[in-house]
Amino acid sequence: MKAKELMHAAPVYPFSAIVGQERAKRAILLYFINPASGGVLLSGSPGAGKSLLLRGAAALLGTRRSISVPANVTADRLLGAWDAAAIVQGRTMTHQPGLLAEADGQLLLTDHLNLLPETIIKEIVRAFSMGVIHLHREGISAVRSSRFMLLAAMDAEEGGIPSPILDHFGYGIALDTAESLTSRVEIIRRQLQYERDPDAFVHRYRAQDEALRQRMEAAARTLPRIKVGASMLQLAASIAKEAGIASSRAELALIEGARAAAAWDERGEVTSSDIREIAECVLPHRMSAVADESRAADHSPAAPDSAEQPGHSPEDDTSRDSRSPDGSPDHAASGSGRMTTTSSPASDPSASRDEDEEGQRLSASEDRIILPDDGFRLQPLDYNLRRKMADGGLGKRGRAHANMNKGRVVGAVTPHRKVQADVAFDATIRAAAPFQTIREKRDGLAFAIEPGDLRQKKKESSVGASLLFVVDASGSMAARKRMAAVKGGILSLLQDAYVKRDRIGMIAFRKGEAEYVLPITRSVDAASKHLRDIPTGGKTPLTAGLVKAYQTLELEKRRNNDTLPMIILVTDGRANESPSGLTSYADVWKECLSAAEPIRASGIPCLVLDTEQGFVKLGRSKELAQALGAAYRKLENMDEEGVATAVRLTKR
Amino acid sequence: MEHIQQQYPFTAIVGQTRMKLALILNVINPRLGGVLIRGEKGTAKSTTVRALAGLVPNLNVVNLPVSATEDRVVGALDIEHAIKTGEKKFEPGLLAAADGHILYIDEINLLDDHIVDVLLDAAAMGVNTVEREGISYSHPSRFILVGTMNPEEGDLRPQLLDRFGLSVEIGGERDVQERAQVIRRRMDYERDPGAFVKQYALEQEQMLNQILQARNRLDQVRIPDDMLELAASIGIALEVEGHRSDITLIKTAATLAAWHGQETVNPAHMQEAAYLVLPHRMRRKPFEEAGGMEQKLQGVLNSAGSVQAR
Repeated sequence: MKAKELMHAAPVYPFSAIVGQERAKRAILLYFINPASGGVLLSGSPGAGKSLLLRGAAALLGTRRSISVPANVTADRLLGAWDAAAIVQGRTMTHQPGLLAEADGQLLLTDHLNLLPETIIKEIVRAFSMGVIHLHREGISAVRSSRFMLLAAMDAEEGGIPSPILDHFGYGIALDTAESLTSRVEIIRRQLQYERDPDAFVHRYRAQDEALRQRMEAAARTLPRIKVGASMLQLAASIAKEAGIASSRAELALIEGARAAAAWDERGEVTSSDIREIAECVLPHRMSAVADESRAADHSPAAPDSAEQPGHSPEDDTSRDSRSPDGSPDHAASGSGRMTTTSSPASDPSASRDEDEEGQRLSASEDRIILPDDGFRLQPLDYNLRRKMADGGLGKRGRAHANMNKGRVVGAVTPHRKVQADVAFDATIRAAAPFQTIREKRDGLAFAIEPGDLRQKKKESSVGASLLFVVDASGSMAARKRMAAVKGGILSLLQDAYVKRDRIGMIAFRKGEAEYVLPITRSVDAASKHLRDIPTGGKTPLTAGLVKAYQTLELEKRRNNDTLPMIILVTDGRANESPSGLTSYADVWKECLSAAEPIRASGIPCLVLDTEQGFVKLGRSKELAQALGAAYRKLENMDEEGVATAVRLTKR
Repeated sequence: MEHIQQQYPFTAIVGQTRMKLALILNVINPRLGGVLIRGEKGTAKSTTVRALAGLVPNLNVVNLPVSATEDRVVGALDIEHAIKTGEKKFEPGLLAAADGHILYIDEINLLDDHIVDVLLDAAAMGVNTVEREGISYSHPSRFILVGTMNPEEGDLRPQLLDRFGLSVEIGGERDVQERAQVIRRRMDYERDPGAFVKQYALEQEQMLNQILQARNRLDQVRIPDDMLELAASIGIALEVEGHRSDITLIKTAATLAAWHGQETVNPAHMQEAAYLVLPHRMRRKPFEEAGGMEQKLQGVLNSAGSVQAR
C-alpha cells in the first residue's frame, strides 16, 4: 500500500479550465498565433498558477512537443556535448544534442526561470533570440540553427532577472493576485474536481480547448494578410519612445502582437486599440529596464572622486541640521540628475498623452522598482574615508570569487592544478574518448582514463556581498526619517544588485527586541513588500540589534559559504535598553560594546553610519565603530542616497 | 523486516498530538503537501516521523541531509558502471528514492539555496527531470515532504514555505507527568525493544486500520459549496497569497472529516484545518506579537462562522 498508488500521473489541467488570468492567457494565445511577437514570461507569487498556465498552454499547442528545462540543468545538456556512453560503448565519437537543439521547431518551457544559473539563462535567451546555438566547447566549434518558442515563468520575489535578458521576451505578464470571492471559489472547485477525476475533468473542457485551438489556427492562417498601416507603425514607435524604451524589440513585439490580436478578432487591419492593448503586455517589463539604465547612466559620471555636491531633496530643506559644507557647485550635479529623471517615464506620468490610464498603470508598476524620490544624485565623497576603505579594513571583499568549491554545478572545466575533488566524470570520459583506440585498457575495464583527461566540475554560486542593515527604529526624533532613508537606500542598492549579485537584509531594533524584518534577498519586490511598514518608537536596544546581526550572519555563512557578509549599523549610538535588564546607561553601553566583540573577532566587515543629531553629541557611534573594527561615517544628509552612497563607497 | 519490528511504535509517542495528526493526515491524503515541523531540538521530531513509517507498511523515510550534494539529490551518471561495462546507467538520487514515500529534511532552513532550487522544481510537477552531466532522464517524484526547522536559526524561503501543505509548532512537553511518561517509555523501549513493541502491537494495528478506513472514505467525503466559500473568504481575509492555501485548506478539512469518520465537511473541520494550513503562510508584520496572528485567525473563523449560521 504505497502512498504512490494514490498519486498516479494525471493528464494536464486544461488551458480553458484556468479561472481568470485573462491577460496571461491572451498573451500566450497571441504569441502562439504569431511567434514573431517574442516569447512569454509570466511572473507571479507562489500558487498564482504559473505552472498551470505553462503546462496548459503547451498541451493546447499540441502540434509542438514541449521541452522542459529543469533547474538542475548543466551546460553540456543544454548546449550539447559528446555522448559519453556512446564513446565508452562503441568507441565512436557521437555528438549528443542538447536541449536547445532538441527544442528546434518545438516549445521550450522553463517553469522557474530565475532559479536557473545566470549563465544558463543567458544561453537560452541568446539561442532563442538569434535562432542559432553557438557551440564552442570540448573541441567542438559549431553553429547550428534552432528555432523554438519560449514560455517561461518566474517568481519575482526569488530575485530579479537582469534587464537585458528581460528585453528578449516579447510579452511580460505579471499575474493577477487579487481575485474576487467567486473566482477564488471557482478555482478551488475546479481543482478539487480535477484531482478527484482528472480524466473526466479534462474531457469536460476538451471542446473548449479544441475551439480555442481552432480559432488560434485560423488566426495564424490569416496572419500574413493582416495589414499594418503607416499610422499604426508611428503610433507603436511613439508609445515605445514615450515609455522611454530604447530597444527596438519593444516596437517589433508591439506590432506583431497587434497583428495577432487583429487576426484573432478576424479583422484585416491593426487598429490603435490593438496597439494599446498589446502595449500593456510588452512594455512594462521593459520599462523596469529603463529605470535600471538611467540609474547606471547616472551612476557612472559621479563615480570618479569629485567635489560634486548633492542637490537638496525636499526633505533636506526641512531638516535644520543638514549642514552642507559647501553649497555652490551644487547645481551642475543636481541639474544632470534631473535631466535623467525627467526623461524617465515614472517622473512624468502625463507624458503618455494617448491614454492616461495606461500611462498611470505603467508608472504605477514602475513605482515599485524605481526609487521613491527618483533623483539619482550622489553624495559628496569623503576622500579620506574612501582611501581608507581601499587600503584595508574591508579588503576581504572579493576573496570568495576564487572559490569554486560550492554552489550549483553548471559545467566542467580543465583544472589548472591537480583535481582533488569534484571530478566531472562525464566530461572526463569525453576528454579521454578520442584516445581509446590507442590506449591500453586495464583489466576488466572498458575504458582507459589518464590523469590528463581529468575534468573538474565548474560551479556557480551567487558570489556577492550579503549586506545586513541593522537599523535603530527606536523613538528618537529622527526615527521615521532615518527609517525612510534606509528603506530608500536599500531599494537603491538592490538596483545595483541586479548587476553585482549583492543581497541585502535588514534588522530593526526597538522596544526591547531586534527583528529580522527583511530576510536577506536580491529581490526589489521582496524588499519593498517587507519594508512597507516598519513601526518606529520605543527605547533603543542596540545590544539586541548587534546580537541578532551576529547570529543572522553566522547562519547565513553556514547556509551560503560564498557570501561576503557586511554589517551596516545605522544608529545614533544612544543605547538605553538592555536585553539582560541592565538599567544604568554606563552598564547598557558596556554591554553594547561587549556585544560588538564577537563581530569584530569573526572579521565581518562593518560600517557604522552615525545619525546623531543636535548640539550635544556623545560620539557613542564612533566608539562603537572602534569596538566593531568598523568603518565609521557620519550621515550628514539623512536620505536614501546618503545611505546608498555611503554603502557603495565602503563596499569598493 | 526485523528492524521495522523494532521501530519505536508511533502510538507509544507521548503528547505532540498536532504533529502526529498532521503526519497522519498526509498518510491518508498524500496530496496535502507534507508537513513543516517548527520547534526546538529534542522534541521527538525525527522519532515521530520514523515511527510513522514503522506504522504504515511500505512507507519509507528517505533522509535528505543538509550536506547533500546536488547530484545525490537529483541523480547522476553511474560512473563505475559506465567505465566497467561501457553502458550508460542513471544512478537515481534521493528524489527517486523518495517517490511514493516521505522525503525527510531535518533543519530544512539550513539547506543550500541551490538544493532548494532543484527541490522546488521537482516538487512543482511531481516529476524529477534530470538534464545534467551527460544524463537526460525523467522519473516520477511524488513525495510527502516533511521538514523540520528551528525558527531561531532562520527562516525558509517563502517559495519553499508555500510548498508545505501543513505546519505545526511544537515545544517540549510541559506537563511533569507527561515528561516522566516520555522518559519511562523510552527506558522501557531501550531495555527490551521487542517486548515494548509487542506491547503496542494492538494499538498500532488499530491506528493503521483507522488510517486505511479514512483513506477509503476520503473520496466519498462531501464538500458543501458554502465550505468552498468559507475557504476562499478565509484566504481573502487573512491576505494569504496564491490559491494553494485555499485548496489545501479544503483538502485538509476533507481529510480531517474522513479521519473523524464523518461524511461531510463542516465548519469545525475548517477551523481545525486552518490551524494547520495557514500559520506558515501568513506574512507577519514587523514587531507584531506572535499571538496576534492566532487572534486574527480566530476572529475570521468566528465571523465567517456566524455568516454560516445565518
